[in-house]
Amino acid sequence: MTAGSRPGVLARAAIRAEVPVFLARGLGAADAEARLRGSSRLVVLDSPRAATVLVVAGYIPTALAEPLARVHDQMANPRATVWWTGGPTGDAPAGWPQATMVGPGGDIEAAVVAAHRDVLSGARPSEAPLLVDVDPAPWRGLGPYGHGGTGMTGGVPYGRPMAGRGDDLRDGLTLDVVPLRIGPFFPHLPAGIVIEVTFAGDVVHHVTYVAPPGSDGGGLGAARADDAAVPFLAAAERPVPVAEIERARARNHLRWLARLLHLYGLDALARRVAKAASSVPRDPGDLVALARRLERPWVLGRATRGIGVITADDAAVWGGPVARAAGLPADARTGAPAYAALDFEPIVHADGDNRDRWRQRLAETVQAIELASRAGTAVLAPGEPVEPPASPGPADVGERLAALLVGAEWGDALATVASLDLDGRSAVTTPVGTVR
Amino acid sequence: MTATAWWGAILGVGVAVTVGAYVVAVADRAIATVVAGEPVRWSVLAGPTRSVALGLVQGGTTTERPDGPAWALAPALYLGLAAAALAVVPLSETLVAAPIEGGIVLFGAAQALAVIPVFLNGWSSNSILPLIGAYRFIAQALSYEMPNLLALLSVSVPASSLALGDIVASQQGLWNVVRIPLGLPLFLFAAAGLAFWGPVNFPDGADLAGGTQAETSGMHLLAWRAGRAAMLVATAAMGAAAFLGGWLGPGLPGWAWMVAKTLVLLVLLVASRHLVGRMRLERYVVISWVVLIPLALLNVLIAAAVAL
Repeated sequence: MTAGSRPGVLARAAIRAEVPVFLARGLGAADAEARLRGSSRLVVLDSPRAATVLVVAGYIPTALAEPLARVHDQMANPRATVWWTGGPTGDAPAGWPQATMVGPGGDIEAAVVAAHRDVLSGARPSEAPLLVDVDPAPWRGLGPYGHGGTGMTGGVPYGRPMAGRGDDLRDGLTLDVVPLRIGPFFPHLPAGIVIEVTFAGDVVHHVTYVAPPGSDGGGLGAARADDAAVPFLAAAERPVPVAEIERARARNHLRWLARLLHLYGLDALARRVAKAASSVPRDPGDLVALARRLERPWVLGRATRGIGVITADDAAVWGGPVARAAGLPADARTGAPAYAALDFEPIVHADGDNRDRWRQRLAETVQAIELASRAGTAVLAPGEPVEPPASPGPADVGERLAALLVGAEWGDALATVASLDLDGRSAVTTPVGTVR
Repeated sequence: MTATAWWGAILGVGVAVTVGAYVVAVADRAIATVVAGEPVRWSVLAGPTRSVALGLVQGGTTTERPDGPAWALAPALYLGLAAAALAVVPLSETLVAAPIEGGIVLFGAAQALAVIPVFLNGWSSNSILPLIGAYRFIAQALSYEMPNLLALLSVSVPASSLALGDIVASQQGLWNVVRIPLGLPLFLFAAAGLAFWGPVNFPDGADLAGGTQAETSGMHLLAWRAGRAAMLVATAAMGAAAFLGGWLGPGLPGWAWMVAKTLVLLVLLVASRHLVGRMRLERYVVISWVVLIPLALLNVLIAAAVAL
């Protein structure tokens, strides 16, 4: 089809379909997923294959540029890219000449829908591959069908490791183990993180954590200003209304909850919660009802109980909601003058598992909305301790994650990673609006 | 059967699969909209056709060294099994595409063979997350098949027949859902596993980035989704015939009763995706083997007692 010609019947119908989107989260884009997931016009996919639009949000360090190009090239044709950046939108990033740029004040939903429409109608050509399609490694097998290993295991044909032998972890059944490198754009891991996992069936056998690269002076795009993090960062420098702080906390927790609900297949509920995160309700009644609904064993209660347990002894190093979910009442708001007037009492749970961590955040969301409604003009003075919405986490997060995940089913392992809200942690420690 | 009857049966099953898949897609969108707290608009009726159009215009993708023929065969095989399962279910006393004596046996065979296309879809792409999805389905299938078959066998006992027409006719006085009360819940739970739908969607779960369908797009993905929807329709239709009296009912024509009962079960199955979170696979396996199989055996004994 040539530009300007009228698209056919199929293309016209396809243009009006929900837009399948794959989100590649860079650094400083903790808000991106919930913003997209809250739209009824878009469908956020877990794999790039069937997406027509790739949304790249935030800052992509140089080390992640090549993995990002690989994600792009996995998409089917026709395909388009939208960069959602916190910086100027004049020029597309180097190497992405056809990309649409959306800045901090731009309408991302409209830009994605327009890219989908244009690429399907032929007004915009489908994007060419960014990388040369070659095997990551040559065939090193023995003989024409050899795999390069011993017996029926081992070897790395075409750079893809085959199954090998591994120790039994839990039930006396020794399985072959398969190594896999997951990330840095896997949708259920924090942005930029890579984990090298060895699977024994569906069970995590071994984990190596690779921290996300930081700013390197180069890279592509720019970190986005996160309205759930801005008040917490600003509190160090200027007086910030308590109501603003608490509504930002509620926003962060609701975004987190939307991601968790999607992981458990509850996409419609995730959409509802993501919309609530964009426009935090004044009345927490709907969220109280949601909490009751999720508590039911068959909805979320049973699937998350007893999973990813962090004991009270270990909870202190995680801090924040993770620690409070394990029974530690550590909260910087306790005793703070602005909160004392509001009769603030920290919420705690006891079990320290995935269930208590979502219950903790949901209860804190309701509490935050109530505090915001009662706070009036109360202000947090500069330099006063401020309780961030996400747990700061330990310095040795990789080792602790590995200890939590080994032996878990893969679905439970991802839910455990999600329950720690490492994206929220980076949101309140990344300089906001950083432009590169 | 004459050639005309053969073609009529094939056409009828094709129409049932197409219309059924469309109904599943519409119901799925409508329920999702309600759960998301949004108003349901007429556009939900057009949504599935737009998605089909997108699937048709979108290109395919490939991976490094896939087993191409097996990969391409998987969705067609799964869709074919769903059509075969649906073909044995009578729409009315006289209207059935495949009026065979062992209708329940053929349905059971189709559900057992479903392991093959699901495994092929995951394994053939030569990619590890789909492969894990494929292996998950083997564990899932080994768990749901026994309770599902036992639940179906229980309805054949009072009918003294494996033919679905006889099973429906045997419910003239009292539907099986009342006289064999464990049967329908057991069947639905197990049958949801067959279509790996909602809380038991282990092979294509979000945690595997889509699992066996993670590497697919375009027509392949479209056919795969159509197959799952068709399998849900076959399951709901079988549940309606085996437990809810099929075409039996006052006033309306028999086919209308059958369609209405199928729709009720279909909406129930579709809604589970939006109301119940994904189970843990290990718990699913334990429940199936430790709870459901004994319950299904008890259900057969209850059916035998009813038949005496």
